[in-house]
Amino acid sequence: MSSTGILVIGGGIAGQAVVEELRRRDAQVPLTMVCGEQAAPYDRVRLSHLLAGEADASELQLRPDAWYEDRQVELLLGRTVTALDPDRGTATLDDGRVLSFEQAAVTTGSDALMPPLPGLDLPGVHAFRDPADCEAITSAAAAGVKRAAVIGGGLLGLEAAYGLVQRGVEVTVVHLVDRLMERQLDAAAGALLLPAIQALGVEVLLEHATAELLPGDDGRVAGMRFASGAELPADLVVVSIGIRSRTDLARAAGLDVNRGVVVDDRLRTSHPRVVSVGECAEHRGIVHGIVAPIHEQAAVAADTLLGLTGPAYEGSVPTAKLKVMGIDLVTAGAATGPREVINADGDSYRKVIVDADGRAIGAVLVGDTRGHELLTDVVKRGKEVEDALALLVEASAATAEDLPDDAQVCNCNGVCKGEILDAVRVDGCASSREVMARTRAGTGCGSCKELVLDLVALATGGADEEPAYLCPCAKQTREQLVAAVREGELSSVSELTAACGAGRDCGACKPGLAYVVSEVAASRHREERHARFINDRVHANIQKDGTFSVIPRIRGGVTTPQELRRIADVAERHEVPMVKITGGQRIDLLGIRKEALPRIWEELGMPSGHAYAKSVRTVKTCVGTDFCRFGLGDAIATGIELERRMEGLYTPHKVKAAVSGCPRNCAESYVKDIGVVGIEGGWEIYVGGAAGSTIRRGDLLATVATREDAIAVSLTFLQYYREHGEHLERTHRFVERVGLETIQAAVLDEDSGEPERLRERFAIAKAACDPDPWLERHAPVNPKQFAELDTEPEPFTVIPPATTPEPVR
Amino acid sequence: MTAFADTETVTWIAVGAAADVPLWEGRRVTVEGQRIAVFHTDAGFHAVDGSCPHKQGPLQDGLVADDCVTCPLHGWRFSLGTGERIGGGPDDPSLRVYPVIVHDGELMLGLPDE
Ligand code: SRM
Ligand SMILES: Cc1cc2nc3c(=O)[nH]c(=O)nc-3n(C[C@H](O)[C@H](O)[C@H](O)COP(=O)(O)OP(=O)(O)OC[C@H]3O[C@@H](n4cnc5c(N)ncnc54)[C@H](O)[C@@H]3O)c2cc1C
Ligand code: SF4
Ligand code: FES
Repeated sequence: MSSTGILVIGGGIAGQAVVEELRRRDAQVPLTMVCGEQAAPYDRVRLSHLLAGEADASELQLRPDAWYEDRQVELLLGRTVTALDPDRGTATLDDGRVLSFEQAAVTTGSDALMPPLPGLDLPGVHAFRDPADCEAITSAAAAGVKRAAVIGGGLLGLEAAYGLVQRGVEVTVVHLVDRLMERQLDAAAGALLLPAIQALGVEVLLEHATAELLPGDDGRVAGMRFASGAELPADLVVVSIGIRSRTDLARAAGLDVNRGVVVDDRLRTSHPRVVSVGECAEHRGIVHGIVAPIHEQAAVAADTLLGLTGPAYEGSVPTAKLKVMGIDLVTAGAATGPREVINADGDSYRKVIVDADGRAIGAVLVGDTRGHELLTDVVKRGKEVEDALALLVEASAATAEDLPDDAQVCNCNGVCKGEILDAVRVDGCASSREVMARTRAGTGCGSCKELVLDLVALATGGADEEPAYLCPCAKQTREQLVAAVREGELSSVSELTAACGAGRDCGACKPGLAYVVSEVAASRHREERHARFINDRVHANIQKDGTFSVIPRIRGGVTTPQELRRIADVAERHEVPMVKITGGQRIDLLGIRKEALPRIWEELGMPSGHAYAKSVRTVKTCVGTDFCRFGLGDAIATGIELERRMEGLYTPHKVKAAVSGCPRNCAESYVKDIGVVGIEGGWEIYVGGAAGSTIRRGDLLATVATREDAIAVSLTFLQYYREHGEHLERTHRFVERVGLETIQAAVLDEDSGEPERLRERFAIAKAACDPDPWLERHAPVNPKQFAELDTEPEPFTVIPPATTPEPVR
Repeated sequence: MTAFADTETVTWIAVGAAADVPLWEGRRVTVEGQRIAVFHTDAGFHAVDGSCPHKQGPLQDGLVADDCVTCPLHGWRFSLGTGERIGGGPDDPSLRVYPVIVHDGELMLGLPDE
């Protein structure tokens, strides 16, 4: 690492948050993160789910390995920093290596606080802090432990107790004070929580001070003795009484340390080169033990490290939610205060706490947490509350819509409402799964998931995800629409709209409807351009300035000198602003005005490459047996033929294919919607590959002996996807949703007759499709198809078709 | 067409043939250097500013439904009746709405007098 870089010490949620905030602001600055644990940064919060058997250890990692590679973040796993010299800018690792840095972030987190009890080191006594603790606790439960005790009745202790009950262990929670979760709850709320916990089958002993842990005959823990002298048998003890910041490294480095590493409002420690974030940091005398403050701190720390100015960190309002156990409990800020307004009945307790100036400083909700996002937001902002009772009532009725855009929805990942809406509206995410993958909202403790789903529905215009409506306004699924077209023998989008209302309100689904009608009605389909996106009205891809791009078809990526010369002439004559080789093995002319399209097509004399449509795009090829010394299959000829057979067909989403001559995969067949690979003695056909925003290796659909069979299987799969894919569902999602086996049965089981029928319907669709819509230049669908009211299409003279030169082969 | 306020006087300008704007589509006109999009729905013709306030997308190329158009670039949606953005924030800019009539097959656009 160069001495200009930033060193992050500790790869917990805090270290990761600092790295993410840094990379959001600066893609270049060298970044190294030293992770004391063997695993890449993972989600500690979800250990509760792991213990309760609701998550798998493999799901915990916060970001996939590739994330770090892509962003050039160096991870040193299983390494600890043993000494830090901020003046010299060096850090010594446990393997003796010395790293130099320009600046550093101390994110060393905390350890579970262990009370100084005799017997604490007995086998069978565990903390609840990391995956190893979880593993030890679950294997003890699996080995038949009967009775367990959890020391500590805070949030974590209760979640640990619940996890053990789920695993069939009798559990007693032993708590020092007179109510559970006393840091977050007042007496009345605690009184409501107690029976709810007991109802889960957990015993609770309040006001019990553990004095000693007792060994059994086998030397393992067998119980505990309380200060009163009473005893409780237990062959598993989980200690969960709090955290202790890990500050040794910082202290030895000469940084100011109290309970935690002392930081100012810019998260700077007492040394200007070093910041600190997370459970190891102490800000204005407070060490936070939850995730939300980490994100707030990390954003400011990143600004500080990069020398950017931004808002200061002025502290966080602590919030708590019980997760996994199905008890509704949310708190924010103070539990008691000068003025309290309570709304309670036997089952629920809702309280807002207001300070002397009338500002909201706390909320406690047990049994009924409706509107907690709104209340938490009011508390976080310290808003003035005129009528706290009215606020409580209003919150009960609040919906996702009522939240302000900057209200934090996911505390674990610091995601606010506006970001979730933007993921749909700006970034085009269509489902909550995509939104969650993009924003990470709802992927931490999971307690905000329902709200995230509501917000996604709000942003997608009320679209329920189950079922997936093609037309959310008229609540019509693809299946319903297909049935309507079939039963009513409809042949146009207008008829479909008249029949069921789909496409009338916002119009966004009209291209989807057009596809459904064209697919079902095939040769009967009556094309209506108003139902098509502008790209499909003028057969070119619209650009950011309203001009268009022109990509002619160059099958298999194979061209000729004549063709290249013609393209060059056109580009020169029209002063085309940009000529570019595309990622799809063809050539793009960019920045063309609508009015010039027909003339340019005529002068090119090449068919449309459909690069603007949800349709078959390209079949990439490699040089295969023609030239390559490793070639096993004739990739070029096979690819060109496959492209000819498929071109012109519309599809639920775009379809890209490739044919490679051998498994070296130079045409990238493994990551195509349809990928064909030459092998010794035949061909493999892969489907559902992707290398766009999602990377997925295609599934092997079939292995066949001949080129004809490879093409036949590809076309049969294409038709199956055309008939069953949801609108805008790429094959990688389609294959995962439907399952490879189902697809194989439909596409390969010749005995069933279905493959034959698919091929017949494919032939009808192919015959009905328009292989070259660019020919509309000779017969526009209306006089102004390629112009505005105030412009005319450029006139051109018809050039007699040249004899298409055969590709050099 | 709510902007057709009774008190305002307008000058009518011929902008092209009504037949050149197919049903449920839009086309652009330029009046005094200003781009205006004219749309054809089953309720007649509508005209609004032609340039999307988001990033100047060409609104005439948008998808049209009952009473709205969706910008082809990033999907902002506007009411053709009021020019207001649908589904956006309260501070989003609106499009100006112009009256249109058809006279002898010609589209006549009403521009408010200064
Ligand atoms: C021209 C080209 C880039 C280039 O200069 O190489 C291109 C350009 C566009 N791609 Fe692409 N893609 C191009 C190859 C690719 C490839 C590579 C390939 O085809 O082998 C990929 C990855 C493979 C794949 O399809 O996933 C690719 C993945 C995307 C995606 C992500 C799709 C996904 O589901 O992950 C989009 C967005 C979408 O479709 O929603 C996209 C969308 C676009 C659009 C159409 C965006 C739009 O809607 O305006 C771009 C048009 C730009 C313009 O101004 O005209 N383009 N795009 C390539 C044209 C290939 C061709 O000859 O037809
Ligand atoms: C079971 C459980 C459930 C929880 N549930 C919630 C919840 O629902 N909501 C909530 O908000 N919070 C919850 N928390 C708390 C939350 O997980 C913590 O606040 C958060 O993980 C702290 O992150 P951190 O990065 O500051 O510290 P840590 O997670 O402790 O990470 C610090 C990392 O630094 C490494 N390290 C330390 N010293 C060095 C060194 N010298 N060199 C290299 N590496 C070093 C450590 O090995 C560790 O990996 C829960 C915690 C637990 C244990
Ligand atoms: S895929 Fe195989 S045959 Fe084709 S170019 Fe690559 S190495 Fe050669
Ligand atoms: S330019 Fe219209 S939505 Fe972006």
